[in-house]
Amino acid sequence: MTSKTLFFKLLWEDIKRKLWAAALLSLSLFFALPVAMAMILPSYRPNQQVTLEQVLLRRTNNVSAMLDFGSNYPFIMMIFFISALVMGISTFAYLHNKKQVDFYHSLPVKRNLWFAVHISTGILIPAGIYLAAAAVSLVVAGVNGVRLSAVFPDAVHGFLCHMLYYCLIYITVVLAVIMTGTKLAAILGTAVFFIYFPTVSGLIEAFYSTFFETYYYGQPSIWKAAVMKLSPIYELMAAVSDGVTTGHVAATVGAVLLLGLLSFFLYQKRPSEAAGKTMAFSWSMGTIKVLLVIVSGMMGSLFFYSIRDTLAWMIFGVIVGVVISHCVIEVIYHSDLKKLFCHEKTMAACMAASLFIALSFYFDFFRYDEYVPSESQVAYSSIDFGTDGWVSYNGGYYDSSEESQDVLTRSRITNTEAVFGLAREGIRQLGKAASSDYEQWSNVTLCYTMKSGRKVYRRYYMYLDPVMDLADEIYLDSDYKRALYPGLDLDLSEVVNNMVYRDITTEDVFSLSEDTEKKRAVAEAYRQEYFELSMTTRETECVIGELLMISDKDDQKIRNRVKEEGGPTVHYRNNYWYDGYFYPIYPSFTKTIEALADCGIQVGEPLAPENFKELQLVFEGSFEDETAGSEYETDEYEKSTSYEQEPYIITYTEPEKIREIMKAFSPRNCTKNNMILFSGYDVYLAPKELKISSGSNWDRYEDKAFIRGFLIKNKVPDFVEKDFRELAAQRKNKQ
Amino acid sequence: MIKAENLTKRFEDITAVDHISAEIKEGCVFGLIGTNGSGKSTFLRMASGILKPDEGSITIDGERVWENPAIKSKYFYISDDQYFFSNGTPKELMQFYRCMYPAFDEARFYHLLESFGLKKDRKINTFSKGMKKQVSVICGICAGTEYIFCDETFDGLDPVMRQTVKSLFANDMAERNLTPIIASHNLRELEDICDHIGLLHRGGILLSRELDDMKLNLHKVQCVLQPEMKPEHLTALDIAKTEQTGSIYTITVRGNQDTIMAQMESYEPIFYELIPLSLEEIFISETEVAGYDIKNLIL
Repeated sequence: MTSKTLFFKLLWEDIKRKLWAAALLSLSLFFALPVAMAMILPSYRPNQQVTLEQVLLRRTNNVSAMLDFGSNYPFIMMIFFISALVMGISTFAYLHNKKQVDFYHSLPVKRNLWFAVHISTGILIPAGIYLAAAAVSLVVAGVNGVRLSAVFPDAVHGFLCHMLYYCLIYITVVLAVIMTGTKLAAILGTAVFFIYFPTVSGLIEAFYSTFFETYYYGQPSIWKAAVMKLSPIYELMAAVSDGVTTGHVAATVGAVLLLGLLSFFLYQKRPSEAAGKTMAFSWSMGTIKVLLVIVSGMMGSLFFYSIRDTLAWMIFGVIVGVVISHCVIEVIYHSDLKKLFCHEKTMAACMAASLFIALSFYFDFFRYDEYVPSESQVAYSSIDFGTDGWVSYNGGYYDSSEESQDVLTRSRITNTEAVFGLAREGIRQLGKAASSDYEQWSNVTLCYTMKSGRKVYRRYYMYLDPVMDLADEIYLDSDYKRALYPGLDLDLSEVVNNMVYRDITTEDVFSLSEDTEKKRAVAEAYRQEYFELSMTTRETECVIGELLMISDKDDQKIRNRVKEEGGPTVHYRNNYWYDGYFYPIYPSFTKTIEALADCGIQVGEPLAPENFKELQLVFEGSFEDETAGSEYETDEYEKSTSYEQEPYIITYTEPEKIREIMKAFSPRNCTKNNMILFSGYDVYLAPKELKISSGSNWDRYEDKAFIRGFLIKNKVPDFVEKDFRELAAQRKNKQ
Repeated sequence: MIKAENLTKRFEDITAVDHISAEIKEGCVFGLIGTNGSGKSTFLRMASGILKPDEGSITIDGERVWENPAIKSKYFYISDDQYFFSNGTPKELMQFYRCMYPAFDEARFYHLLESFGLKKDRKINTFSKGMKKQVSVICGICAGTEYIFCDETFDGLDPVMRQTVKSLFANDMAERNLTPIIASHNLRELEDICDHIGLLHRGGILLSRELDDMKLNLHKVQCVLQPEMKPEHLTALDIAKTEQTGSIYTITVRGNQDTIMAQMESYEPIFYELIPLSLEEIFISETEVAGYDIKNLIL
């Protein structure tokens, strides 16, 4: 008999043995696909607002979502995931039973044929059942008026993706079953394969972020890039959330093949007498144990350190983690509680290793935080001052973890001396960032690109003032600015084509004059003045208006996104996706302001002092306790803030005083004011004419509307300081 | 012919089969007897390609068994606790075996099932232990293989069924030269059927001999010696074991019958007679010589 014929005969026999699994899967998919579809689709009905065409489109979209792979309809993915676990364990479960092993292995069939038969059974059953369920679903969809040609590609795509990730999970479980000798061990082994690498990855990240002040979470690292992806669960989740890319498919196919080959090899090597033992291969016992115990020790140390951050508790955590995990593993290995403390030398070695790793982080043995490369090693550097997180790069996607990455990827600074100066100051300030004066501190991220191509990242939470000259050196570099602000690197005609003005206070958007030359003049003036903008200026000037600087490509991306999301069709440039493309105008941009005036735009007009009848200043704090603080405290902060006592409030109605105070005013909700140093005074501006605005700077109290904001540090008029000190003195005298 | 050369199998620090060399010729019934843990099952599991030998080799008709389907199709293995598919029926089991044993005799299978009073569509897991053994034996006989390996197969069969199975074996031996290899503790059963005996003890083989030779070479002498004589004085005899009941000695002696009788005559005993040894007694004698405590034997 040829092995091909025998294969199909044995396959059929094996499938007959798994009819129970087929029945369960059929039932699940029957309810999750055709039944669910038959229930959902008729609920979309035409009415006065919705046409038949729209209904059919919705039904088509729904069918596509249900049959395709992704997060829109995750039930199928969940069913396949559970099926993979069940089939993986059941198809090779005979390996865990001596009777069954003797039975199968005594028959005149090679082991590789048995492997092929069992592995095929586990794949063909769900594939066949899913195809049947999908076919019935398509019939249901067709009956409900859905054009099958519209959903068929999604159905095929869904089938292939579901099967691909099913195979990944399935083959992982099979590998765990082959490497173990009992069902419990197989389940635990599967869990280890699923979560070990993400746990290690998370643990390493946690260690870095807990013990290293200069660790930059967004940096690409082997722990995130590779180790995390070694988990099939992670890969599945990534495919569901990010969509199935060619990269995902290639990686998953590769992983399936690799795991399949490994399973095949181990299946042939697996001794029949392994049935009933915890681990099938003695060589794997020690390796797996050591890997688990060291990680458990590290987890223990981090757990106790997170509760009580002392060295003693950290060491206690290592000991507890190592001892408990080692004992549990030994008991599982030997199925004997008396073996609790066997292999004590391995336990001691694991403890030493865990302790060394934990202590190397705690004491920074490798001087991670103090690292500054030598100049000869660095090809170029990149920096993110942490002040321009508002900038959008890719059509309005806002991803906090990637925001800095874009700046660091795009900027190439060769002024290494300035970068090193910033780094050294950052290192000098380590551990001093205890001030609660949030605005004064910046998260400065450095990326050194070594001549070898390796990238080294560090983040310093630091006060920039001592090295503002170095920061300005870098920031004023036009290449750096182009990298940081893609709007400054656009073709002028593209800028002019899309440019609109947005008021910072009211958030109203205005089109510029139709005269292209005038608009071009605005763009040129703005670009020139923005290149001349320094960090020092940004500390003392607040944003008074914004210009949209967006490429046609990104504009189209946002339009598409708004359309997809069914967002507001009102003035599209009010959409928040555009926020990262509105570039700030500062009071010192006089040429820009003039050019805009030529286009009919009066920058900052709503904040003109004559528009307000009343200005109220509120200071919540004390003027008596002039306690010394950190080395970075300034005169402004000698007035300690306290929210326990009644705030000091002074209302000004005199136009002259309002005009003076308004010179130091900054609206409350402007993310682009991120460099401004605030004085501690809250400002409530009451306009002469009540305008209802949806702007986030507006507050309403009873029948009054206010614009809220702050006073800029070092610009507070002397009379204001004097008035508040007098008020404080009066309050003291009364007491 | 099945040939084991220097065959060794270890389970961690236990040597289950220790450098065994033996030959099993075709057409005879080979009985594999041994003490508990002597390696009988391990030997059979290696012979049937389940276990891979750590050292040495086992061949059938000159070819290695391990991962050799062509050779494996020459035998049928019945373990001491045979596996049956859950909810499987004899008919389904037959269909499964038929995939791998092309010479499987379906008609005979159904005939034997009927003869044994077993229903082809009844779930095997509802059968008694003995009925399951019967199903295994029927499958083994109908598989049409040259060899059949039975590990404690007679255990659980009633006396009638045992005789029936023996008859089936005898029939197939005569008709198609079937070679049954039977591992068992039940020496009385083996005595009736075996031509050749392999005696295993502590993983090693004590002897492998024709049963008749074995019986002819070991004798029990019951005698009453002269008053001044003791069994120790019978130096010409190769005494394996001596028991005394009053003045009657029961002496187990190696050697052929004529020589022993001549030597006994020379000592002029008051009375003596030669009694043939059962296989059980041979087993006890041989294993005692090898240091096995008789009290721990399971017969």
